[in-house]
Amino acid sequence: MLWNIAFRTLLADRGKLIAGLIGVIFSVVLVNIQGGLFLGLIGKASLLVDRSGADIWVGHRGMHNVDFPHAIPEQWMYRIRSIPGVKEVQPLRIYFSEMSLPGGDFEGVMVVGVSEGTRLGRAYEVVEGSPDALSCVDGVIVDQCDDDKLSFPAVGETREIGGKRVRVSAKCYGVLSFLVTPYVFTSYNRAVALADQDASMASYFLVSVDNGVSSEAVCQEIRRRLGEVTAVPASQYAAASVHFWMTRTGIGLSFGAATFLGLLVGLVMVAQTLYAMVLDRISEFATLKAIGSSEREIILLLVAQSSLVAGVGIGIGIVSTVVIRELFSSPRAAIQIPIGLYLASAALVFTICLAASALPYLRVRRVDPHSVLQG
Amino acid sequence: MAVETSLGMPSKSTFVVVNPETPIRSAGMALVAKQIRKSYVIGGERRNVLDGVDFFAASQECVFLSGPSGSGKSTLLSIMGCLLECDSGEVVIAGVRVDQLTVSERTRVRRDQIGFVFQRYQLIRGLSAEDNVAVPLTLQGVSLAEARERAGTLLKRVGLGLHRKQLPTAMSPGQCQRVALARAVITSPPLLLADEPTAALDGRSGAEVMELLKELSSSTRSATVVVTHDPRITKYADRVCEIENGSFK
Repeated sequence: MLWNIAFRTLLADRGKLIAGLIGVIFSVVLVNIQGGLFLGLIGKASLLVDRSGADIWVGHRGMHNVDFPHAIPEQWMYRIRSIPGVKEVQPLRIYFSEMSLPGGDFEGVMVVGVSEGTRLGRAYEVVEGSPDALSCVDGVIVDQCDDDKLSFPAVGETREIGGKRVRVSAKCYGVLSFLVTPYVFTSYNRAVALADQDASMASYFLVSVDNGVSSEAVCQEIRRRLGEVTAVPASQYAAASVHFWMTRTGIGLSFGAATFLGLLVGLVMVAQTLYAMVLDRISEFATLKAIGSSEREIILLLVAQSSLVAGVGIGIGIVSTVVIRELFSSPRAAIQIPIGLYLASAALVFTICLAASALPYLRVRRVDPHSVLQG
Repeated sequence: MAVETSLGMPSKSTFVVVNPETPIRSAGMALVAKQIRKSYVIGGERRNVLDGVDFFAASQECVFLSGPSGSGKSTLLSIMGCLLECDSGEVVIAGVRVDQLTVSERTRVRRDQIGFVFQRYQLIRGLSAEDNVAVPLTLQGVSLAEARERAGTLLKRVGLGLHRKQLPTAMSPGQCQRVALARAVITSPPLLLADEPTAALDGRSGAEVMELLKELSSSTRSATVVVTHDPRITKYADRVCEIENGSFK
């Protein structure tokens, strides 16, 4: 019956019900979209690592961010290859440079040189142009999402990187840097040539291990043999890259604060709505007390109402979030919402709604059932 | 204390004031109140609202409490209804002393032993007539389906069989008060307390409500105490007790 009373009294006051629902929906959408945008943005910090296909990343000692490598001797690669359990090792070269634009301007780019004939380090999928683009003469691959930054280079168009000619041989989609600098993929050897740097140095070694071999054990062996390097499983380096931006920029705090404020607004809306509903029906609560409702039943009634508002609001909020994500998520502003975030936001908002019911309860608790006889 | 000597006589002229020292026997009584005292502090000054009042109501008896505003009749009703604690005195409902019970025990007494009819009906706006009547049963643990069935039957009996699904906002004041009556008697409580049940009704509706109140209380064998100012309904009283300045005339 409590559910019946809770449900029907809520429905009887649709205006306030809608206001309460808007509060909950707002909170759910805000938490998920803010969280999804955060995850989408911070995910770019480790995109090269996540999509590298490597089990282990090896770089200079103290490496902390995939975009800021320090050069290591390429010949160390052979010492890694000799470690039991290592299936494949490939060098990777990453550095900042400039690409010429048709109007004579330049745009900063991050050149990523990957070995040909392997999947290791290929964080991209070609969506336009030749799938074998790296083998084209002077071939480079740019991302469609960076078209505006690079003045819309067409496939086949020639540009210059570091004063040397390159040809856009293909385009990929959605491989964006956490920095504003576009990635330009090319072959390892071409990257070395374009850089005009010491050809004997690499940025990283990407390692894949045999099935059943522990990446951690191989990392230990690499560190033992090459004292000057850091060797970590890919997932660990991805986390380190994310952590770098989180701590250096305070982005987590900014998003967290915005999300907290959104939650607070939602909480206030729900609490205020429930409180207003209770104030409107204070004589009904007095009547319920007079005819024998216990304090516990009154609390359950309020909790039931909060739960109903929360449950319906969370449901609508999650559906709205999915729609918003489908409509507005793009590689540039990716909204990545894992199922865990949906569940966590639902649990959080539900808990907050229950807490919000404490405010009207404080008012109802003071209602004297005797008041129904006092007009 | 005002105790009428001949039950069933409808005139105020028939009551007799008996000696306050006369003991009231509680056997067979639905309600017995002895030496009830209650005072409030108003404007820094303590004022006695009830000054050693004795009262009783037998099963199936309908007793009216009347008196001017501020005379203490509503306070007495609240104390007898376990809605308010007295400063001193005893209240016995259906053989159980209730004045010394805890808050939760008094809540249980109200739930199980007392039916309330309020001046403004006090129906829950969001609930249909049927669900309003079913509330006291469900508070006693009866399932919603069974409570609704019994409420529907009772609503038919009070002439609202076709209105069982209607909300209070769609009903006339007289119909609302009939729903409130049904809610008060649905659990067949030994005691019915009505606070100005006809004050918000026209003469015809008021008479209908009182007829119904008498009929229902008779069928449930409840004692009924009615606080009223309404002279039009005095004829429905078995006894009328007039209270003034905290004591019976």
